[in-house]
Amino acid sequence: MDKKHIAILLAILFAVAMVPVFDDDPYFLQIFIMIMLFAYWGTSWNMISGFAGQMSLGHAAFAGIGAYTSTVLFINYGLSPWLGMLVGGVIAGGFGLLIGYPCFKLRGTYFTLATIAFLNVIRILVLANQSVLGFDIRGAQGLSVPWRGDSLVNMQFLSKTPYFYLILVLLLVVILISHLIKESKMGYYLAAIKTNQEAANSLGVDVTRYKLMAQFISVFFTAIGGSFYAQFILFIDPQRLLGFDLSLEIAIIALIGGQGSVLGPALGAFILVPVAELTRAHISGELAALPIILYGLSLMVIIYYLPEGVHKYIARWFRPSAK
Amino acid sequence: MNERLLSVEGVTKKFGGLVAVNNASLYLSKNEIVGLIGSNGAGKTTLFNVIAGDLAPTSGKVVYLGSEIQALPPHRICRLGVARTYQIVKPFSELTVLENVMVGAFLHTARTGEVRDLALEVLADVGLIERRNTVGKDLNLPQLKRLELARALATTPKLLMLDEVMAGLNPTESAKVIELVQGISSLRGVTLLIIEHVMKAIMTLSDRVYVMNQGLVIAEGKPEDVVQNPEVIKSYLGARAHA
Repeated sequence: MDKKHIAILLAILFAVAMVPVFDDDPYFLQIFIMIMLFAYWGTSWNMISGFAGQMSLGHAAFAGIGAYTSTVLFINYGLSPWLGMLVGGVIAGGFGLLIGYPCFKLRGTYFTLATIAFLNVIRILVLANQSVLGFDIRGAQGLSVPWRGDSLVNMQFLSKTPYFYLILVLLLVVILISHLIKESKMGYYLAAIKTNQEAANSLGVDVTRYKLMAQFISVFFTAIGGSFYAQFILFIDPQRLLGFDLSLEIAIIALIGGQGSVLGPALGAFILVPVAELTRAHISGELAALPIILYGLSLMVIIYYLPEGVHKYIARWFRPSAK
Repeated sequence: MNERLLSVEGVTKKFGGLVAVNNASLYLSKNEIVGLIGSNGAGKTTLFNVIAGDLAPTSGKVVYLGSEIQALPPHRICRLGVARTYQIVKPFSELTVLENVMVGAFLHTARTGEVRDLALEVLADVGLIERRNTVGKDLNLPQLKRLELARALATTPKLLMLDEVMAGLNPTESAKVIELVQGISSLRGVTLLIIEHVMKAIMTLSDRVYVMNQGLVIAEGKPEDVVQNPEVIKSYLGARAHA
């Protein structure tokens, strides 16, 4: 990244950070928070699926594990979600390694299939059980996060503005980590693994180990996003949070934005989430199916004209002329 | 002769009923250039794959610097100082030439700056420096062969195994690669094991030659002696002599 790049990014960041100052309309902020949450999830997903080329279609499972862990700990022990989200991240990471380990020795679609299977197992497990390990999770009804007052320790706020800044910071953290990975030995190794595992292996790359590292980091942050979601919406349910739809949304956003690049997934969220939110909010009644149709159409247009993701075409404009 | 670097002791590799390598033994001393020749299907590449750890032998031992390595995975063997190129090139097609070589150069350090310098140095040596910003998929075959070589060299190997780096090249290009390989051996002190069909390359480069036929090592010796060996002529060179 050169100075021009950094200046542009800082300008965008400043503009986004100013949003709540000029307009604190809750609905408006809500859309921005959802954009940034999906940007955050897409960026996390990208670490394993974009950088290492191991396509996960079950990332919602990790978001769900994060959300349920922090919520259950908050309800039962009053543990602050700030700590609960870390516990959730580590538990999700453990599961991530467990699925990754047998699959990463293989090539092809086994990992993708395993992620879908894992997601379904977790969802059915939550749907069918009122309690897991002795903790009340209320099955298909979903779980409400009890309101314990406007407080930083409980990560609960009356205004949407604190949530806005919290997810902004989380998004910046995953983008920064992505950038550091991409520019480091690990980034080069993952890119090599993505194109040719055998060649990477012959050049001294421990393929399984690097995939597992990427998987752990990816699902850890995905789970933290899940805990944020729980604190923001104050309600979690298996159909939405452990759904295949959510998994697919995360993947599509990153793919449209540009998987494998640092900023592509975030860009994808800034393009697709508003389309989804605005069409859903402003079109209703007889035309209720229209949002989904419009969403699908915009996907088709982007995939047809920009098959490698939007990021690549935007990056081309900014490419320094020298070199 | 010099210290023993690698020895293959009675290696057999079976694929189901097919015996690809049959009780093969060979050795390399430090700083030697050894050729491995034989007709197609003789088991040369399979033997390479066994040495590099891509395949586990059915039986037999591979001893490198005094320790057995036949059970190790490829990345561990690479870390010990054994690098290889592939007969069918395997570039990282989305990465630039420089990035391709940097993947190899990251073996001994994580410092990106150092790695870039090492990779640039290797690229200058193999004559790919002008192509450093070209992505892998935009290279032609001679350039891809050089890229294979550069990536392997960037791991700073003690033993470099070249699997038909001249196949598909015209005589002028081959001559350049022969020069390049000689340079690698003399300047860097790398021991080389070379599979090659281009006889001129084998005759010029090799200190010693092993000949394989149907999985067996059938002859060993100086290149000029081996080509006189009646069994070798019958199995391999004979076919070409009559052609």
